[in-house]
Order: sequence, then C-alpha cells, then structure tokens
Amino acid sequence: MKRQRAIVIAAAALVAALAIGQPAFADDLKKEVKIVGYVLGDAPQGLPAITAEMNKKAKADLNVSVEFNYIGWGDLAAKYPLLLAAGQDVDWIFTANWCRYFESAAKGAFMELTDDMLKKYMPKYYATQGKVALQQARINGKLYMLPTTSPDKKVDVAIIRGDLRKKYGIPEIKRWSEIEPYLAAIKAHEPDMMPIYADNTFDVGRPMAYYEDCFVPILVDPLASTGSGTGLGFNIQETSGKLYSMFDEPYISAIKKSANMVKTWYDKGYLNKDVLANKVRSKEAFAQGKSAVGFGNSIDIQQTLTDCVAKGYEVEIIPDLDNKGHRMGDSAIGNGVAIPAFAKNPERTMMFLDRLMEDKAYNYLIYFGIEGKHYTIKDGKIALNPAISDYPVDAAGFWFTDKNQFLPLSNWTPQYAAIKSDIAKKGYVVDHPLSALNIDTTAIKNEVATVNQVLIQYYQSIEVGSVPDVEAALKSLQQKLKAAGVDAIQAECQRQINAYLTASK
Amino acid sequence: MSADEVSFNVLGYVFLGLVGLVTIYPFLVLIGSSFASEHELITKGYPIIPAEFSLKSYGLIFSSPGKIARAYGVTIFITVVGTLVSLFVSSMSAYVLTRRSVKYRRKLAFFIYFTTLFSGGLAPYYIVIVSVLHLKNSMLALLLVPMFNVMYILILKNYLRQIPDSLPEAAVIDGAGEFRIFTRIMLPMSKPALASIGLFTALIYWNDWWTAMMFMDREALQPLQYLLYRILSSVNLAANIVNSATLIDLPKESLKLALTVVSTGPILLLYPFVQRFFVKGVALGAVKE
Amino acid sequence: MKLRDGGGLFRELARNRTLYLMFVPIALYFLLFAYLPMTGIVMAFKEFNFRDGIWLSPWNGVKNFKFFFISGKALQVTANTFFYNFLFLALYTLFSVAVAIFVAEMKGRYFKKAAQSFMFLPYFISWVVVSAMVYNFFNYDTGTFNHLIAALGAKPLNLYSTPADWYFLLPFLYVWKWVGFGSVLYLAAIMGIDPEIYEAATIDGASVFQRIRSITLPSLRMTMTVLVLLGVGRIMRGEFDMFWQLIGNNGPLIDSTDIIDTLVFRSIMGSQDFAMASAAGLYQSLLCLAIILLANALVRRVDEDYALF
Repeated sequence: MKRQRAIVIAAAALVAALAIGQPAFADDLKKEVKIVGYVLGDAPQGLPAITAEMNKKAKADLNVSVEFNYIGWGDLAAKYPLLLAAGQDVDWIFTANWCRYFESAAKGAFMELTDDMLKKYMPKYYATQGKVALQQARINGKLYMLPTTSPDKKVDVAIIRGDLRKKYGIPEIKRWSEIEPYLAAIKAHEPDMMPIYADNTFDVGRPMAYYEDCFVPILVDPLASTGSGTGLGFNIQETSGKLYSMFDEPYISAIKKSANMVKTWYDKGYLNKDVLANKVRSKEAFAQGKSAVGFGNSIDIQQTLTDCVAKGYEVEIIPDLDNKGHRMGDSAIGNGVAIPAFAKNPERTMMFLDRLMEDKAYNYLIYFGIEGKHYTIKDGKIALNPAISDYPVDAAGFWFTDKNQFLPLSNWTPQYAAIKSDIAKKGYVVDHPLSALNIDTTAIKNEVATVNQVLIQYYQSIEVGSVPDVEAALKSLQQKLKAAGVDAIQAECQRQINAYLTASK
Repeated sequence: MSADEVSFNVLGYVFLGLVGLVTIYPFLVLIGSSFASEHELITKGYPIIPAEFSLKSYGLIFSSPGKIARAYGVTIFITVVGTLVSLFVSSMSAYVLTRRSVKYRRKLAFFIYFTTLFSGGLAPYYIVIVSVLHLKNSMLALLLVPMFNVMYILILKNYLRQIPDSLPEAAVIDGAGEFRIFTRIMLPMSKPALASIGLFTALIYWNDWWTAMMFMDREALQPLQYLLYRILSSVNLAANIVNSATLIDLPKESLKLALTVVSTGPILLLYPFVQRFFVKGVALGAVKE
Repeated sequence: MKLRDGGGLFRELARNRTLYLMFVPIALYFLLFAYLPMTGIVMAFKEFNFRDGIWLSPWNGVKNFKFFFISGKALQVTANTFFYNFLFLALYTLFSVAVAIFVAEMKGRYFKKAAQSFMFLPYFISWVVVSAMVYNFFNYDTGTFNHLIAALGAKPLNLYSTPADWYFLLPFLYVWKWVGFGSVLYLAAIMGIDPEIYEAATIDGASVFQRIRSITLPSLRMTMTVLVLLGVGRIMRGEFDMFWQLIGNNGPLIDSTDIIDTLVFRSIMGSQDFAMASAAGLYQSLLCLAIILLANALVRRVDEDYALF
C-alpha cells in the first residue's frame, strides 16, 4: 500500500512538473527572447560564426537571440520524440513526412497554426507559400507544420560508367531493364570490379525494384515511412486511390519476372552475395572504382559526380521511372518546421522563422555562410570558397528554407545540371492527389509492426536474388503476410484513402 | 621446476598466447587500416600495413585541436571525479549489505537489484532527468547518470563478504564506529576488488557518449567520446542524407577506425596501474602491517 | 524474538543508524534515477500522446503487447535469447576463470601482463567497427578469409547466408569482447586468498593442478556464484548492439539469430511507438524476475551468503 501511494505521489509530482504554462499571444518585441531551434545532423565547425552573425540581425530586427541545436542522425529515432515529450526549451524543430511529422502531430506534439497566425506573424512566408502545400500539411483540417516553399523535385537514379560501356561496345542504356549486357561485360572484363556492389540499407532491393518499375505503373506504399512498408500501394496512373497488393496483377507477374532476373544476376555474380551485410553504399564504391553501378537520387549523387570527374570516370544517369516514364513527385512536406505544443514564444518564433525562410539575407547566411568568406557571387552563380569546408552546403540542416531564392552553384557538373533540367522539362515527375496522404496507424499498429518484420525477413532475400526458388518464396511470403494481418491493413488504409479523397474534393 | 609445473606453464603459454593473439590481431588491423586511404579500404579490404598511406582521417579528427584538447579535459575530469565518488559510495553501500547486524540487508539488496529488472524505458527516464531533476546541459548529468551500477555494488559486496566477520566485529567491540571500520579496515583490505571495479567504472565514464548525446547540448562541456561520435555522424550525414548534395569528400570507412584509435589511446595507461594491485596477498598484507 | 523485533523498525534503524545512514546516498540515487522513472512502466498499457504525457495518456489494455505475440515469433525469439545468453554466460565464465588462474599461477611476468593487457583491447572496439571488420574478413566476394581459402583450393565460406556458422561466431565474439573484463574479476578474488595456504600445500607436496583444484577453485566458488547469478538475472535481455550490428536485417539468418530486442526494434523501427517498446520491455522484465527469484532461492537454500539478496 505504502509503495503504491509513493508511486502515485511521485507521478503526481511529475505531472505537476510537466504542466507548463499556456502560451499567450501577445508580443510587442520589447522583451528580448531566446529562440532555440532543433535541426537534424551535426553542427558544422563554422556554425558559431554564422550564429553570431544571425544574432546581430535577429537582435536588431526582432529583439531575439537564437540558438541552433542538432539531433544526430543516429539519435533521431530516440531523441526526437523525447525532446517533444519533455517539452522544454524547444521553440521550433525540423519536421517532414519522413521525419515524424504525422506521428508527432497526431499525438499532439505540435502547436496548431492558423491562417490568421501565418498572416500576422509570417507575412512573407504566407505570400510565397502556395495553398496546395499548406493543404498537404493539414491533418484532419488542422495545420501543424510550416512546409518549405521550395519542395525538392528529385527522381531515384542509377549511375553507370559511360567510359566502360563504350569501351565494351554496349549501346546506350536508357532504361534499367536494358542493363544486363553492361553487367555481363563488366563481369567478363573487369576483374577488380563488381558489376553491382550494393549495401543493406539504401541500395538493397533497388536492382529488382528499378527493373520491375520499367514494366508496370509504380505502386506507392501508403505506409512506406514505417520501415519496409506493407506490400500494398496505390497506382500513380490512377486517381481512384484503389489499393493493390503486390500479389495482384499486373504486379505479381512483373515481380516474378524481375525476381528471376535478379536471381540470375546473383547466381552469375553480377550482384554482391552479401548485400544484406554490406554497409558501404554503392555510390561510394562506385566513386572508388569498385562498383560499376551506383544507386542514389538525382540530388544526393552530386558529390559522387564531382568525385568521378576528378577520377576521369564518365558517368551516365539512368532515372528510375515506370512503364510510362513517370514517378510520383514528392509532396511539399518533405522538409518543414514545426512549433512544439508547449512552446513559450510561438509568435516571436514565427516572426524569426519568416525571416529565416524567406528573407534573402537570412536565407543565404544560414545556407551558404558569410558572403566573401564562405562564398562569392560571380557571373550569376554562387562560387564556393575554400572556407566553405567549415560550413558545407546542405550539411547544416536548414533544408526547409526557400531554395528558389538561390542562384545556381558554379561547381555543378554537366550531368547534374542535365538531370535537373530533364526532371523539369521531360515531366518525369507527376502529381497525384494522394502524394501527401498520411495514414493513422493507431487501429492497426500491431499488424503494421508484424508485416514490417515479415517483409524484411522474407521479401529482402527475394529482392537480392538469394532464394533458391522464387515461386516458392513468393508463395510462402504471401501466406506469412496474410497471417500477419495484411488484409486488415489494406481495409483500414483503403477506408482512410477514400475518406481523404472525399475530404479533399 | 617440477614436471607438473613445466606442463602447467607450457599450457599457460599456449592458452594465454592464443587468447592474446586473437585479441591483439584485430587491434593491429584497426590501427594499420586507420592509416589507409578510403580507396584501399573499399577496394581491397582492411590491411595491417597500408599500401596507400593516408592521414586524412586523423587530419579530420584533429582539424580543431583546441576542441579535442578541451574534450579530453572534460572526459578526464568526469572520469576521475566520477570514479572516485562512485567507488567510495558503492563500496560503502556494499559494506552495509554485508553486515549481519543489519536486519534489512537482504531487503536493501533487493531494493537496488530490483532496478536492474524493471525500468520505465527511455522516455520516462529522459523526462525525469530533464524536467524533474533539471540536469539538462549540466555537468552533474554527465557525472550522475553513469555513476552507479548495481552489478558492481553486488560484486563489491561479494568481495567484502569474503573478509571474515570477526574483523569488523572485533573492531566494534574495541569501540570503533562503523564508518571508521569501513574506511580504516575494510577499504584497505579490498584493494584488488576496488582496483578492478574502479577500472570498470573508469572505463564506463571514459567511453560514455550516450549521456552527453541525450543531455548535453553545450559544446564546451561535451566529452571526448561524444565529440568523436559527432564527427562520425556528421560524416555519415554527408553519405546518407537523401536530400543533400554535400560537396565534401570525406573518408567514412577509415574515419570509423581512426576514431577508435584516438579514443582508446590514453585510457590504456590505466591498466598497468591497476595491475599493480593484482599481486598475491596484497589484500591481506594491509591488515598484517 | 519475533515479538520484540515486531515493532522494531525504528529500533532497528536506531541501533544501526550509522550503517543505515551510510546506505542513504545510494538509496536516494536509485529512488530518483531508477524508481521515479520506473513509474513510466504504466505506458505499456497506454495509448501514448504528447498532450497528456506518459502518466496521463488513456489506457488501452494489453493492445501494446499484441504485435509481439501475433508475430508468431514470440516463442522462437524468447528461446533464442535464452539460448544465446546461456551459451555466452557459460563460455564467458569458463574462459574468464581459466585466464585468471593462468595469470595468477604461471611464471613469465611480462608475458602474462602483456597478454592480459591485450585482452582489454576488444572492449574499446564498438560493435559497429567489429561488424565492419567481420564483414571485411568474411564477406563472400572480396573477404580476406575467402581469398585465403580459395588459394588453398577450398570452397568459399558463405557466412552471411549460413545460419550454422553464427552459432560458433557469435559466442566466439562475445567471449573475445568480454574475457578481459571477466578475468579481472576472478583475478581479484584469487588475490584475496591467503598465500600461506598455498605455501603449506606446496610443502605438503601438492602439484600445481592439485593446488588449483583444492584451493583456488573452491575459493572462487562464491565469486562465480554471484557473477553467474547476475548473468542469470539478465538472461532475457539480449546484447542488442552486437546482434543488430552484426546481423541486423539479414533475412536468411533471422530465424536462428533473432533475439527479443532485435525483433522488437525491427517491428517498430518506423513507428517508434514508445508504448510498444515499453510493453516488450515489461515482458522481458517479468521473465527475468521469475528466473532470478527462482535461481536466487535455490542458491540461498544451499548457502545464504552466496545469494544476491
């Protein structure tokens, strides 16, 4: 009894400690406030200088001092929800559809932001931001996030060595389904290289998925962000939002065809045997001349492309597109920022964020550092100075600011510029009404967890080509998914999709 | 030497030799490979003697020597202070648990042991440290969070238990207070035990990056291991973030290895010091003097 | 006796007040740093939300436990966890004791000091780095090991798709990593033995082996019991980092190497549901509690001094 009472008292004390004052919406800039923000990654060496510069501006403009803290990549899963759960000293935090936006917002971690608040405290942002993006960020009609005004347009790609392709007389490769002769030539003539040297996190499954995509409309898994997904998806060429299972036609035929193809690659040694244990990404191995294929997306391969120029490799880019040459565009909520529910100075924070995201001086400072020191503007391009190494572009974690304000960089390789313009001009990327869909998994969380585990254990071996019998492995996977409750997930997701489509009409 | 001593020693040389070899070999590979170029590591694997010598990783780690020196300072401070306090309080509590006159000693032992069985998980722990105890960004967090380990207290209790009860009891009759008995008789008699548990505690402090990761945002108070951890994760960032096109060429693989070498360095000196206490009779000698 | 002690909580506290006072710091520490957060266990039965926090979120019965049991793997991973930890504990004890005895009894001061120092090195190599090294040494396509045995004309080893090999490799790596630690604990115990007993035995003509059997081993029994009991109390908690870094999501190996901690982590990797993790943790705690109470009671029956509590 005594012990029980002690626990109750302790819990009550905690609750009291947790109950923090409600925010009041009145602010006349008289009182100086400190605004603490959290972004992802790791503080660059040069950050203190940039913070000092930012403080000068912010103090003069808004009477605020700022502090930027970082959540390391390895700690994201553990630390992000804890910061919000403790609810202390966080004025704003990075968020995105791939960075716990829906989970956190649905569970009450973020403050609701109304149009009136945006108009009043963030006029520049509100004027720049399109209605669509704000609409996509809404959950049950309520907005908890300030999505970026410049969403990335990117496609997944594979890169190959054009110099070697030409050397062995292989014709140009436009689609991943035409890759086999190239892999065979590398295997036959380049003993020190692996045709594909894939890793177990990013690359795994890509050789097969890219192949499959060439023959069918791409399926988008509504729960892709929960780990390995569900094996369900909506077809990007249909607007009905009907969910297909990977075991429905035409998908199962395409999967069998691709799985068997990858299996022959595996057996012939075109694909490394230990994909599931390797932690070095193929694009890194590609840049070191070990892998003849690298996987990435049209943005993150930029470094690899630059490295390859230095090594004298000629790189060709193969985009991962479906049978009609499309893929779904990223939603606008791929980068953004949120204000925690218990934040103490939301209005001043919003005023600061308005400048940070949409005021050119703030934006350039936080993204490229100090003009003259870190970068100079020459011939309408941004030229990075050697000092940029203490404040690398993109590494500081402020991906939610308005990138449309930036001039092109002078060190983009021609291929990088080409794929950027291809995406814009050739219509690789298409919109879909469900691109910002989010599923509330509360009712099906046990099934989702189990299906996730089943797919990792049984589908990955099929994807890397190591199963002895593709047909049998797929059959057994289907049974295991059923047992894990995939039907319940399908029914619930379909229900939510239909409701979403109805609501957004 | 008699025949059985010869065979025992031969056996010993073979056995310890093998174990020693198996444990030193990977470390040699680690050191050698940390000096190899990224190209060599990815294309040819880990060498003991690198063919393509490179100091790039070490250059990256020591690119701001001031920071590293300060982080070493923080680490040494928390290791020394933390270990001393922990060792003293742990052995004091362990002593209480061994005294037969303490009626509730088994309940007390269970009281601390129970905490190894059940825990509320990370989230409540974080909230208690941050919102109730207000230890965020405080040096105290770095000292207190890793301070006590139930296992070590119970191991100390077991060592103290082996000292005959007659000793403290005789001292009680002579009129010595319990605290005095503990500091004057029990502590000197448990040198090997204190040395080994002290070593373990020091290693825990030395290697602890987790506490800083969770509770220390202030760079000036971050210990070495966390600084190194951050260097590694910032390089991983460059390699892993899908939205980023970072334009810096970083040696990711060799960095992992170089960081291990840098972080292991000085603490190795502690071991020979501890070994001094592993001489037969060192414990009993203390009483007999 | 009973009656006199009955109302005697205060009398007991008064009689041994110095001793109880000496225990206050540690008691306070565990109250604040362990028992207070432990109240968060209620989360295992709640549907967590940030608004209400851990202690006030609504109850949801045993829903958080369901995923673990509908996975069809509960029994398998529980058995694996037990099996690996049992094997680890047995081998770790065996090797630690052997190393300690050799170090204590053999000649060659510098040799054994060096060997013992080397044994500490693996402690500094994190599992991330161990896993990179194992991969480099053993991987199928480019690993050093396969180059070696290919040169000898043998069939290459396909470690990452052969579960059986891991039954050997995992315990090996565990012992490799921890033997330096364990041997120090046993060595400290040997150092507490009165050297005169050895001298007397030597004069009586006992051989080294006889001395070890009849003096050293018996005096290690208590330390061994305590260390094994401490190990038994954790037998349902897996060495997560080791399994995750070395094997992670490698499908063909999962059935034979998955432990409770890795299964839970993999299942809720995406959702990061606090409450589900808490539920799985509670399941492990209850198993550990039952096992340690049983083991401790058995030991106490033989000799009270050997028991943990």
